[in-house]
Amino acid sequence: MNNAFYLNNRLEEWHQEMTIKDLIDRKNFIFKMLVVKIDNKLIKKADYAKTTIPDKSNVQILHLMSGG
Amino acid sequence: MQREEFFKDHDPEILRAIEGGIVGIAGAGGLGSNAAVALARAGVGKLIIVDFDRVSASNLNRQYYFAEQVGSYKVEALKKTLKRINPWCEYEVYIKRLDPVLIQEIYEDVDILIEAFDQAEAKQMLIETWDECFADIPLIVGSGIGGVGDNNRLRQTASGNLYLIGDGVADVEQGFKPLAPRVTAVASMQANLALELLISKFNKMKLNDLR
Repeated sequence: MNNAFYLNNRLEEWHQEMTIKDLIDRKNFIFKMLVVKIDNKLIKKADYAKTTIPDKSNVQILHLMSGG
Repeated sequence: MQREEFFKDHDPEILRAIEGGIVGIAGAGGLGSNAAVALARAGVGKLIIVDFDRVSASNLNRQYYFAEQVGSYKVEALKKTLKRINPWCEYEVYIKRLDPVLIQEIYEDVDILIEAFDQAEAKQMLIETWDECFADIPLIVGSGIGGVGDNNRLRQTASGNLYLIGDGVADVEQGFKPLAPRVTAVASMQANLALELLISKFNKMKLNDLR
């Protein structure tokens, strides 16, 4: 596997310097609240713009919905 | 009524595994009140429930409260109901709005936490706080409970010790109104997973004792 990462178990092309925020914008995650993990480590919302995605990493993005 | 009579139909193995368990419930609305009732009936040793709100008439379409409880603090009303159902378990309640400091103080001894907030922002705050302080303790979050029907979309997604339960789609802020059947279905799935995790923790402890 060269220059790629997994997003929710699907293979994605990897680009240098791509942040979590870039990925969220590009993939159209429309909900304002998300759970983001890279290699099972939680990324805080405040850190989305400064966290770059490592090559060959495993990224999980889940929607967080209001209602309880 | 005696305790033995209450638990006569219980699986004794399961009861042994959960009667010493402590489950935290953050929020006592549609998810929290219904999950609490399910866990009290199941016989979990202790529930720690926190909510700042009072019962309103519009809550009665999905939350485990009664018309005469409108105006009461939710956790006080819920504690009375839980004691009427199962007086042999312990219910610790707080009238508080949870923030990162209180979460750490109130829930440090729980085996599992059920997240039952309303707002997605509050859910996010809890998830981030939990990851920092109690990453080893399972957290069961409700996400996507609005609307009706679509049973097959209700599911559980796990990521380490974090579990999301719901349809992952129906955001209440986007017009999917919460109604009792779907809200209680998700609350029951949260409670069901909590029991499963308590039992597996107990069995692991037993295995370690044997070693």
